[in-house]
Amino acid sequence: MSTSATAQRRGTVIAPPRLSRTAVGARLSVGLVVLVVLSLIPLEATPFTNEILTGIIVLAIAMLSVNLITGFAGQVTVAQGVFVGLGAYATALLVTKAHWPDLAALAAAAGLCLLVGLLTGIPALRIKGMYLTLVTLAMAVVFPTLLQHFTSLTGGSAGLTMPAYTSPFSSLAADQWCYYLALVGAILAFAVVRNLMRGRIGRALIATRDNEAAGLAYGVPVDVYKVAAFGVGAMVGGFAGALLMITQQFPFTDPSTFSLTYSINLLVGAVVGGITSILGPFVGAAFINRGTNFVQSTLGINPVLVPVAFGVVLILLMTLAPGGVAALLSRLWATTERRLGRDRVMDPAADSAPGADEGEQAPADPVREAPSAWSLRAIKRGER
Amino acid sequence: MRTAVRGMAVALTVLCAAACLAACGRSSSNASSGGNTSTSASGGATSTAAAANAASTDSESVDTSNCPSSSNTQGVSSSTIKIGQSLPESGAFAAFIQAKYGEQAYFDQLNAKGGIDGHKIELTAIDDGYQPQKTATNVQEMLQQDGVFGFMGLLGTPNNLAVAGSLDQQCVPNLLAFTASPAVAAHPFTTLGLQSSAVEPAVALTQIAKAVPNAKIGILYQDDDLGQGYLTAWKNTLAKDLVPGSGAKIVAQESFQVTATTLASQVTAAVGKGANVIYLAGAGGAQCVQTIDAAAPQVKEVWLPTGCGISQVDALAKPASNVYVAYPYVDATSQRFAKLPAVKLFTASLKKYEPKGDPSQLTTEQGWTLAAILAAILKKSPSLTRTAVINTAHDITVKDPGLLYPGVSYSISPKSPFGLEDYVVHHWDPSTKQLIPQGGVITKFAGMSVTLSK
Repeated sequence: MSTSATAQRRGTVIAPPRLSRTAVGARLSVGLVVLVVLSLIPLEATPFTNEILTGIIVLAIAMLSVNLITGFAGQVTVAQGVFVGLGAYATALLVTKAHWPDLAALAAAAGLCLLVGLLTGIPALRIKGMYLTLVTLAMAVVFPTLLQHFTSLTGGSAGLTMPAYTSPFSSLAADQWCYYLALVGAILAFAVVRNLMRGRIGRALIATRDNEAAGLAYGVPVDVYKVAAFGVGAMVGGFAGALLMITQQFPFTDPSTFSLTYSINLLVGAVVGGITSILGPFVGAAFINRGTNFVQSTLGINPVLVPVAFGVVLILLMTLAPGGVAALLSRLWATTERRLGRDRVMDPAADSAPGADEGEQAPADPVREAPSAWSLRAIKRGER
Repeated sequence: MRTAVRGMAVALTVLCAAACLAACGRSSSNASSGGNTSTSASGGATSTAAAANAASTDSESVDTSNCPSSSNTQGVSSSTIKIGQSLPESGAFAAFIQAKYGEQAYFDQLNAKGGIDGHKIELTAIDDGYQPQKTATNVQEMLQQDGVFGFMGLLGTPNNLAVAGSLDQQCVPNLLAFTASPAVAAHPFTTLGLQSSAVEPAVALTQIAKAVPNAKIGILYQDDDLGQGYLTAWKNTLAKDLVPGSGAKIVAQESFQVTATTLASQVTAAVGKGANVIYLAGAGGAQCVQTIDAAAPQVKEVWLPTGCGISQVDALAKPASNVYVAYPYVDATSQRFAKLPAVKLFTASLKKYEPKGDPSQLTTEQGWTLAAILAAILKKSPSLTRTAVINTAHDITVKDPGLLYPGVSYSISPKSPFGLEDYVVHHWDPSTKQLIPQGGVITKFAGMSVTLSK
């Protein structure tokens, strides 16, 4: 058995895939079509639909930060809600108390969260695995209490409002403008994260996620990259929080929005979408944002039983597709590609790392599919 | 590493450039549109804002000059009026769904009789799980998709705060909100539906002063705005000497979390500081029984907030003969009021239209009563437009609506935005397991909620 085949089966080779020109072309054209559709939707849809979609997009950015920290860097976090909340409150305060323009406040909020994320990442180096998760849990529990306590700054449990960001284009209604803001923000955030993960840092993070000792042995500066991942993840979360404020028609935030449940929902949505996928968060965000509504109104289930229905769906999903919906879709994509005869020319030494390029990977062999840090294979190998 | 750093540098540069562009090019017209609801939602600014609105014109208590005329009659057709509501039907506060059943039952029996001048009231309710962001989404959905005229009984203080500003801007009436928070009352297009907690301490003190001269009060307060509100009201009540000669003093203030499973330590601390009357300042629920179990054997009187009315106290495990609660409703399950026409209508309507409605729950009664008050507002309004209805809603007196105690009226005016300030003291009778009204309706603190909550 060639080394590359063995390496494939173990899923530990880390290098970006090489795709044939037709495969790249196919991906680009699908991407372009999707982008065009996304850009045209708000011009025809009702304001309410636009507001819902905007909310989903912003939530997806927040879940992307979870993917970065949990999926790629392997640190299970239930504190991303803290950074989203920090970004939202920072934006609201800068706009209302310091009278900054909205976008300047957004940049500052993202920068602030980057700093806070880096600072919290440093002590986190000493804590591993489940203990780190517990610390993030503590952060998520304390955060709303802190917000409620410093009433003079945060407005306490009454929360904060700020003026809406009016559209500078007379041809765009407020809801359309906010949608485009969110869309541009999402493209920006996703581009940043994707480039990070495809670069050296990303590959190093994935390597150390699955086997820290091996990473260290290869001379990967594990500590530096983990802190960087925390920082960038916090920045993306703060960016989402700032967008959350700016893209609301009647911006409002209060401590109860960023409860522990919110952080857990971010994690759940990220896992549902695909914890190591770049585009999975969109699916996860739609699931969390509209899932309960769908179950209640469309399926007509008694409201009190909705959490039960939610739980059942989650269990089914995790049993059948631990890599999330993104893994399901990429399998579908791969099958379609194969059927259409557009197979890639595979460089045997250049298969992607487990889950790093969820959207790209087209595993014909189920063994090569290693989507998440909690996949059964990883557990069997005793790595996590 | 370089690509990633470069990428991030580019992203940050783009952000900064965008920020600069925005700083240069952004118009500053937002200040006026956001005006009413900017950051100071805390107690101090509220009454001033309400007073300012009250003083705007003679005939109108709400300034409707900026309201769009196109949507003034949205939700009203020749035969229906659509009203929306957002409340928790799932999650930790799922019990509040009873409010919806009470309201729906009232509207169903009213519609069967022809509605309001031929208009049937159509209630649309969406679950928000007590989450303010969900409330905001629900409100927009009902306005845009369902085309509702206005809202009633919107439940929760943070939930109302999340939408009150936007409803002000859109000139949509948010009537009889299911909260008693002064911060919510400050919004011109919102009126409160619940009994004011600010006058409860004064009412309690009238009874305490009779039985326990120079009482030493120990207050157990919920660690949030509601509990703090009660504390402020107590201090103001004593400072203003609203019950002269009581000689009462607050000797202990012990806070507790809403989720606490026992209040024994707080009671012990209060009693240790010399308290001989314990006053629970919270929202109700399990804390009612916890307080009684811990405090009743040790003090002369135990006082519960309105939220503990009816069934929660009915379910007491240990008998106690020194428990009191002040609330303005009748107990629909009590023999004493079984013959009251309002009670008969209530129980019959629930049975016929909303069998899931529980007549023994205070929330059901509150929902029914709010619906009755809404019907009175709509009937009295000179026209079924948003501007006319909101002005009527700010200036109306309804006598004995719904299940309010006979003699208690809902009375709201521009100077007095709290409609329910009358109370009846009730005493728990362990032998019959019922709350017995003591004395009559106490109306003398009406109009004082605003000053007592500062």
